[in-house]
Amino acid sequence: MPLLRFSINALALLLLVACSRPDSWLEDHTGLLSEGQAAYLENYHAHLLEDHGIDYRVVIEDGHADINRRSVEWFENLAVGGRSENGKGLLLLLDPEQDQVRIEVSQALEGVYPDALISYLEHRQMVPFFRDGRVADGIVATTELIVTRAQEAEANQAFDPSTLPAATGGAGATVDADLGKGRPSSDTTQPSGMAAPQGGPRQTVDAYLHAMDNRNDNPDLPIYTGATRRMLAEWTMTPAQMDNVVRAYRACSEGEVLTSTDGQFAVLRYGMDERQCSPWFLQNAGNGWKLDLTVLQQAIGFGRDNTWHFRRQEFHRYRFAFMDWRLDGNGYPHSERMLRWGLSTATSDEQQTFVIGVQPASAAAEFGFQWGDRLVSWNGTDVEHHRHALQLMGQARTGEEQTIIIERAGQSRTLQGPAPEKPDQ
Amino acid sequence: MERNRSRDLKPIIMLVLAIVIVAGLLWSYNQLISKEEAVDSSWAQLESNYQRRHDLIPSLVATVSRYLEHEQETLQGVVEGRAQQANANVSRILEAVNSASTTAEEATATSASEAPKNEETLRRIARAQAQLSVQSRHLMAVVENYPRLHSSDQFLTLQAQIEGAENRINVARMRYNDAVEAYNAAIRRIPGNLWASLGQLQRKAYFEADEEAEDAVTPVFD
Repeated sequence: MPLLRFSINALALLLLVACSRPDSWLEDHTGLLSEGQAAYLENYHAHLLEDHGIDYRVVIEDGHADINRRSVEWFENLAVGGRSENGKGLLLLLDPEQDQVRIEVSQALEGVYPDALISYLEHRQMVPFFRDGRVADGIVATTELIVTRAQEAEANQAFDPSTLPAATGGAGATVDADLGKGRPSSDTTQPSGMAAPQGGPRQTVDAYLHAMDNRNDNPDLPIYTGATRRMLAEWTMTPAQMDNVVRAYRACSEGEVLTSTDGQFAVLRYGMDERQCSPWFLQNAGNGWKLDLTVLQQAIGFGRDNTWHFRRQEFHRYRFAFMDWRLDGNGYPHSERMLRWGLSTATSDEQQTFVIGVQPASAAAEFGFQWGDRLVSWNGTDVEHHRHALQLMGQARTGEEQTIIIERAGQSRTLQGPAPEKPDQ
Repeated sequence: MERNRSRDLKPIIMLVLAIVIVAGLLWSYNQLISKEEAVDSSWAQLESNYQRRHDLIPSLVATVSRYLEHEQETLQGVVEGRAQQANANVSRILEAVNSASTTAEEATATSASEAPKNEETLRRIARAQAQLSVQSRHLMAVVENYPRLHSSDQFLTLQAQIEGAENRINVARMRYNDAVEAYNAAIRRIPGNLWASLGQLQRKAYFEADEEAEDAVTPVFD
């Protein structure tokens, strides 16, 4: 009988190895994830190995035996950590039937991902997504924090340099997955009173960070713009994300506040060398400055190394604050460059040319250009489109008096002044 | 001619055979020794995991006690005996956890090197450690009645550490049993049994299944 059992086990293992593709990161035996989600996860995990040398597998299966024991078996059977050069292995085992999830950690990673941290990530980041039924998002959002931790560890050289075997000694943590259980009852919803719009953009950002520090996930805080509130109502905001925001910005410099010429919009941005610190976008609501997180969501993307970039070089109201930054084709900002005119224009579908950005303290700002002005003529020549405007600006000789006719709020205006100095050729 | 040649070859064949046999015996001895070392190192791993848990118990007890004290202060004069009764129960469980930990630590430390050789010693350690497992699990279950404590980051951290230590203990026990199984099987087989019969190598002790060990344990009731 033992021999028979052994051969059945061996057969099962053989089948298992035969079924799993050699480069696969995910084994979903329950069909919980869609094909698209699975492909997304596969891709993300392949990059995790490439960027940080961490071999992180995901197994989703229903089972009856103890999840902790099964996790060790999967870890050994899949040889998790074997793809990493120095035994850095992680395994996530999700059991929808028992409604439990475990992350198993290889010996080489125990120092960087202690049990308490894994448990924190599961409780405070993954489970809130699972409760909303967003399994793939929960896994990826947790991986993002795993990456953040890996970066910190790389910066402090906290990774154990000695090559430990790619094996588990039982490290990691198991928690209830609470799949699809919904959010906990709202008696924990925090008051919104503290976070009122502030007199200055910086103060509003501080109020927001204070709210995050208190893990205030109320989507209706008065410091949010209406669009932000609508967006947040649909969001899963986890305690770990809130902690992470506070921690991330604690490491940022003071930054600088740039306000649009009409005083309606403001950006708090950080230096080009602080690319982990994404800018804040604010609107003047009359009674104070409100935070517009929708711009952050729509126009700012984050690379795999958690540095931010512009997702689209689109026509947006906050372009004014980045006029001195050169963006490459992928939206990544590069070394600062003071422009000659500091005027950015775009042509609408109706072939009208509008000002979409004025670099602060630039010649254009001195002329009095504002966001939304329509360029009518330049030194008597009608402006046909934005490339034409660029040409006319380039032709102006240093110190030559310029006369520009614009239309602002339906009224015609004339702007005058000397052309700025031409940069050395 | 033929006979002569085979007579010449005989001693050579005998010599080669003798060399092969001696080499085989030495090799098997070395195999046994490395299997025995595997048992010892997996036992050492288990011991260090037991110690890991013992080191965590004081801060678990301190955290829960501190919370109870704080709650006691806020309760004073507000709520009557029931809550205080419940707190007194938790205090009793805390004491039980503490004493189980001390007992298990002493039992493990005093006879640790003996354990793999002696079934009785191993069983005593297993029982003392199982007692601690049951008591700490009991404490975790009771703490669920205190949602503020149970959902605090500090408690979650401790809980993860204790559960992590317990899981490591389980994994190390499993690996210890595997190592013992391989070793015991080897000394029963030819030629391992020859070496064993010389008296140097003895059977090693196993851990019994969890249930048996924990059946012998009586939790403190609240």
